[in-house]
Amino acid sequence: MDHISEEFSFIYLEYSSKIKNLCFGYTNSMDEADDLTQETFLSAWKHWDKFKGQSSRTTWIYRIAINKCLSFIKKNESKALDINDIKNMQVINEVNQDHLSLLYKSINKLDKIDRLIITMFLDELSYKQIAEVLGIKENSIAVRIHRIKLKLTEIFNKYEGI
Amino acid sequence: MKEFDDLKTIWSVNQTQTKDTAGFLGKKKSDPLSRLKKQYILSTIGLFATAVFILWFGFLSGKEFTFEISYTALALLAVSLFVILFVNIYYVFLISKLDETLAPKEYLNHWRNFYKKRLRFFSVYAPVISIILCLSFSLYVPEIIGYYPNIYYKTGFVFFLILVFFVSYLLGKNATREEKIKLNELNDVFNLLSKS
Repeated sequence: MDHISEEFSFIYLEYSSKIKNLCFGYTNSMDEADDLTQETFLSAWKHWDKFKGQSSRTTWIYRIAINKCLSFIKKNESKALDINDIKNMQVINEVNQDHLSLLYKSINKLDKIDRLIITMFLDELSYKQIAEVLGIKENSIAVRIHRIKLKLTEIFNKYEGI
Repeated sequence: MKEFDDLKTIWSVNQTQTKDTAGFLGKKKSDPLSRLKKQYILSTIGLFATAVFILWFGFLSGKEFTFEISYTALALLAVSLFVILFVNIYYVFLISKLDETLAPKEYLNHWRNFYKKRLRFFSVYAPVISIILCLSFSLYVPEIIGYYPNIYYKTGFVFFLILVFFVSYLLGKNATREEKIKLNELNDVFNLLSKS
């Protein structure tokens, strides 16, 4: 295996699951998330030489995934979250499964950009990395994330209370 | 009542399964950008072949038409096809410039420009081309049904004109509506991103 393939495999193993979560949080559909994840890594593979090293590979991969999500035009916007999609995930127990399902449901209630921002934040990307991915100022991200955190917690608690 | 940190804990168990690298690279599924580009390239090749055939049939095959107007009809038809062909080449150029590694705002802006240009083509230039196409078909009609008695010929001609214009109108309307939906959606996302 050559150097590029090795590096690519490493990035894929490290981030494919996270990218899929990001896409799932955005599209609400596991099939569409699968497609977008595949397209993200295909595009990364195709443009591997274009990476100039000004940012990290992480932000570079996330940036491609975000662009894929944002330009993805949903045919059926009102599709509800499919509980089976969550069940197919590797979760530890039933409680986690229910909570995770509620969390995705809550994320889906946010606006499109906020869905992506909070998913990256939950995946432990720093403010700086999120700002780099989106090409906006770090300060604006910090303020926005604070607002999204409050909103998401509120939506989650509302759902949990039902 | 949960705090945000509790949500982070819930998220931490979120592990989706993905295909292995070799598996997914082996089954290379082309992305929508490449598919769109391929569609335009194939359509360009088709249009080029049709236009060349029409020019050959009308002017180089040695076939003599009964009505002089048929030559004008075929020339107009070929010109319209060449115009659409050049528009397609321009779209391929625009798609090639879309770079998915750009910052989202820049990338979305490229998409918006692409859809804006397509919408403009569908709503402004396409009707003109469509009228020229209809006109050229109509001018060729005498060559096909010109031998029938006058009343049948005139009825057939009018019927053909109405049919072609109606179909063009319906297709154009549908295409414009779809482009508007796509553009509006991209504008919404772009505006959300701009607010950040």
